[in-house]
Amino acid sequence: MTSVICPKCLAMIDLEAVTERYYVDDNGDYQLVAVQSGVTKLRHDLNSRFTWKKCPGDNWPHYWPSDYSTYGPPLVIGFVGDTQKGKSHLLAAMIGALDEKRLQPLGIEVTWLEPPRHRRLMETLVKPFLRDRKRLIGTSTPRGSAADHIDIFQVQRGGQRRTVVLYDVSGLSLMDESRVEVDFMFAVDALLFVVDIGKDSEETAGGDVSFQVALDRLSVRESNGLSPGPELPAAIVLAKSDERQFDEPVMRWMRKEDLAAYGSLENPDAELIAAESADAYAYLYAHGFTASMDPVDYFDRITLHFASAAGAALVDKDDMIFQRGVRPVRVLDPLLALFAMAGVLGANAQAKMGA
Amino acid sequence: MTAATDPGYGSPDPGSGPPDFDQGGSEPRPGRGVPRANGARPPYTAGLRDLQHKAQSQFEPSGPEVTISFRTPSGARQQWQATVGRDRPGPAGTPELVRVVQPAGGTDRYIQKRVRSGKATIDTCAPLFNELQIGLHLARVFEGAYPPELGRVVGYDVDGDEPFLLLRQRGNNVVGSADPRLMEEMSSFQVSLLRALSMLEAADVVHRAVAPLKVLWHRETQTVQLVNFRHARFAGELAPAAPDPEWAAPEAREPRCTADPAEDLWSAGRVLVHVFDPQRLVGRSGAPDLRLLRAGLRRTLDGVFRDTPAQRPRLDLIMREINAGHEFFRRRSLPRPVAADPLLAEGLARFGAIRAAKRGPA
Repeated sequence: MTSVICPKCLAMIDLEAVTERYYVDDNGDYQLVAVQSGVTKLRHDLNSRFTWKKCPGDNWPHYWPSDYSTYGPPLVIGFVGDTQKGKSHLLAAMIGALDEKRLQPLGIEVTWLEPPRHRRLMETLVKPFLRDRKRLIGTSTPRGSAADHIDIFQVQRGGQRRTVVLYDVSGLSLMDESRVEVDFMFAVDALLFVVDIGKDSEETAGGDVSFQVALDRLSVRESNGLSPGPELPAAIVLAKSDERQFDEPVMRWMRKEDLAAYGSLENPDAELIAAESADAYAYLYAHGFTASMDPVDYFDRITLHFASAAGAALVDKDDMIFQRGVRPVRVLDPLLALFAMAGVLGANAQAKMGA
Repeated sequence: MTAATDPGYGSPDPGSGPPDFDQGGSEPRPGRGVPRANGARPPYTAGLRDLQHKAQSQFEPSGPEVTISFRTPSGARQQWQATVGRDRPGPAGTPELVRVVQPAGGTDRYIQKRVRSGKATIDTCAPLFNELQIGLHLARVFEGAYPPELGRVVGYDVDGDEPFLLLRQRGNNVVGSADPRLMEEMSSFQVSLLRALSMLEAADVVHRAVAPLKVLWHRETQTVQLVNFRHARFAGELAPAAPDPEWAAPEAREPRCTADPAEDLWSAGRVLVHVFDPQRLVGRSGAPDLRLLRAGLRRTLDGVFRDTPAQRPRLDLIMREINAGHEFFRRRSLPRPVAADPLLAEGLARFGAIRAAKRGPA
């Protein structure tokens, strides 16, 4: 039995015990997969290629891929950051890189568990950004409704598999701690904080409110039978680092190859990752992003990374197109660090990583 | 991009002649004489460029004043009213332009390298931005005592429609026809070039394109200056093949290698032969035969052309052997760039303390 917490309804669920499966029809509605009269075997088999199970949590109907917890508890990663800080661009660049199989040379296969959702994301977010160089508008979550996950995939390394769920919630929601859209933060297994260090950035007094809201949500974990918040793996991404590529020590890291620390997945170069974390922390400190450094104190294990989703700045801050092109830099490094700290890359990598 | 299309720009110093905008093929092979009538360079011997053969007017700053706004290496904003020389094309195949800039009311001249309007992309800006990163790094580590042996970034703008660098260079390159006085300066030239290499090594920078176009000689101060860092890497970085195989060490001709100061030593050795004993390079694309070199060079270059970086002698040993040990620039003279900034250093210390506290007592 694999009991996991559903990030949508926050109930403890055992999806493996659920036998009914659903497919998504042409209208986007969930339909029960069943041998019915008038339905050919071929149609039945086609419908069964990708299936979902209805969450048994006693709440509104919502669904997870049938394999959601087949290989153990999924790794639910929450992206946190204020509006217009580059979170959506970073997410698009990461998903684009995963879709291009950029982890394959390292021995990691990625399988998208909800192809329709992934295709929609590719068409509406990833391709417009990476291919058409378009500036993305921030995420929006309808007020009062639970945040929906943005994509879900399975990571396969050797014989090991793990489901990974990516959550992004609108920066606006993250600025109001009373809103239910951010309840999923209670159920995350890892957090990725996005700090905008671009040329037009400046930290507001009191820092990034969304960071505080996210950390607040974690405070009730322990009293509800979950591991304490500080034990979760976390990473801070210094987004738009290309716009600071002439500053020390940003330039040194932006010149490094992507995934330089992962020559061996089981034995990543923890010293290199620690050195980058130290430099990134020092940069935040030296440039007054002090409130954005709170997660470093809060989490037991955390890494910090320089990355750029676009690889080049907007020439004019009101531009809707990245005129100089789009080429993500080091966007998968933070994800791999989270994978390592969460045990996806094996026990040795897990033991070595994080401050 | 290859050096065949990569001009090294000489000095715009008044009195030292115009900058070198040559782009006529690869760095010249000694002894390859080409009739001047077809517009190519004069017969090669060695030594300083013969300035009399240049049309000075092409390089002189002239015309109406323009306004140039930029940042200095320290980050300060600055604006110049300046006269500018005619735009010259940058390396072939790139949208770069190069011109001389002379601020109003002054006599100093600078070189401006910029990407043509509307052509700035991640790729077209990459060499210029690389040169800027290296230049800013050198400015930081040599802060307050920037050495004349290295070309210097004095300003830049990376955000505008035409990203650019402003560079201060001094001296004349050693491509052109012979100057008999240079032979008398062989010792100073050698020591100064080796000192320049020792400075780069101390700063963890590998030039990767040391060749006659990028080595300037300033007679008044008897100082070499290395310029044009568009292909430079930090020591230990992965790098593509060096731009000009003729002047590149064997390992630097490989499609992928690790940048090592010893590759600059190999290239600088070949430049010394090119300048002071050019006939030894006739018909040889790689290392010269040391046994045939003139005495003043043979001792300096002993071991320099060995096949692998590890086999080549250390710079301090070479310089000591030619009685120039005191000119060797020691690494410990330079701070680590991050540690040079007190706030960054403080941030590093805080992170170290947080990390230690999380790990608990050993």
